[in-house]
Amino acid sequence: MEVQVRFSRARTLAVYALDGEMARRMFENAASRVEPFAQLRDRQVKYFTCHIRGQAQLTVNYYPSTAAQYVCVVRVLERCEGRVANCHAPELGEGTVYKKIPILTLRPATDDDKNHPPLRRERLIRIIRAAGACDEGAADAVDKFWRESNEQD
Amino acid sequence: MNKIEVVFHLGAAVIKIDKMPRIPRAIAVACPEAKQVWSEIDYLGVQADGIVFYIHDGEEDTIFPAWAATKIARVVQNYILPLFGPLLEGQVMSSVFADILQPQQPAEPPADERPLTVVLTTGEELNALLREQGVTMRAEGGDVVCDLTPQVRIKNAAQIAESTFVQVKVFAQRVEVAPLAERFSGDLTDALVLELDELKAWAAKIFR
Repeated sequence: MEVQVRFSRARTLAVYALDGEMARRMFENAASRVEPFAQLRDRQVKYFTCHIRGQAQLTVNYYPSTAAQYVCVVRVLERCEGRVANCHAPELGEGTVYKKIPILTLRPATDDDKNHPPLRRERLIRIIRAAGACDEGAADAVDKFWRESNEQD
Repeated sequence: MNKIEVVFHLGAAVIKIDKMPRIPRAIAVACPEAKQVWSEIDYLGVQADGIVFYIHDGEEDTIFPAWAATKIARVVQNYILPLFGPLLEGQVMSSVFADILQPQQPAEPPADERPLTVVLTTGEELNALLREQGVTMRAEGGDVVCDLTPQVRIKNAAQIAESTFVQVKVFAQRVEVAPLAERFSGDLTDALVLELDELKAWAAKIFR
């Protein structure tokens, strides 16, 4: 999905810390199960998207790394106004205004990332579900993989 | 006047460059060795973590080689945005990239200082934490200032009810708490809220 925008600003709502190994296992394996929403490069998940009630999307950006800690930044794009292309929801026309599109970014932690609360499995599932993903498979796949990973540990 | 075409593409901002010869020229000056790569480009984009990529002929976006990425990102931030920002409505374009380029931004004055972390909670959880810890507070204008280290300022305190969502921003020397004026998609704000036990554990790391 591609949205051409004229007005937009992404605002950070919250930031969480996540174990790097969990982030890797979760997004390099579980997220690939929700294809075609997951975008892969070199067999690694780069991002996946969940459409929100046919109107917008939750975008999850993931940056592969061997870092021991990851950071999950939850942002909201304040407003998008413009043309939609390559959208899975063909009923959407031009000139649509989108508001409050959530963006979730998982990136390797840096030295400045010491004060974030941990991201729990329940919270991540709630974020994906709260974004109203019409494809429930995304939240379910992440949930299932997280549980399986913990059981193996 | 050519308009910059800005595309929000899966979490990254993208600018179309085919009608903007000044952009390739600026890149050529800053990073001559990137010329071969640059000749292929239809769109230039910046990911949320500051990584620069390009799109050619509708193909999947491609990350610049490491040797060129830093210089090109710097050009986008320092040269291209000031050049084209005024042409857009307000400073919208600049604000988009200012946020996206956050990891590469130089130190900003305290008024625009970026927080070390941001969390969401509710007025109820916040009140319970402050009461439980016996924090001394005083009114200052419409704000409430808490006697903690680092100091906590609760902005517009009168607007915070038990059910109000509040955003807590931790800076290097201070903490700001402010009511969130609006809810977001679905129940996203609910999903992000720290509960009391989480808030206590997190606060223990922040306050001395």
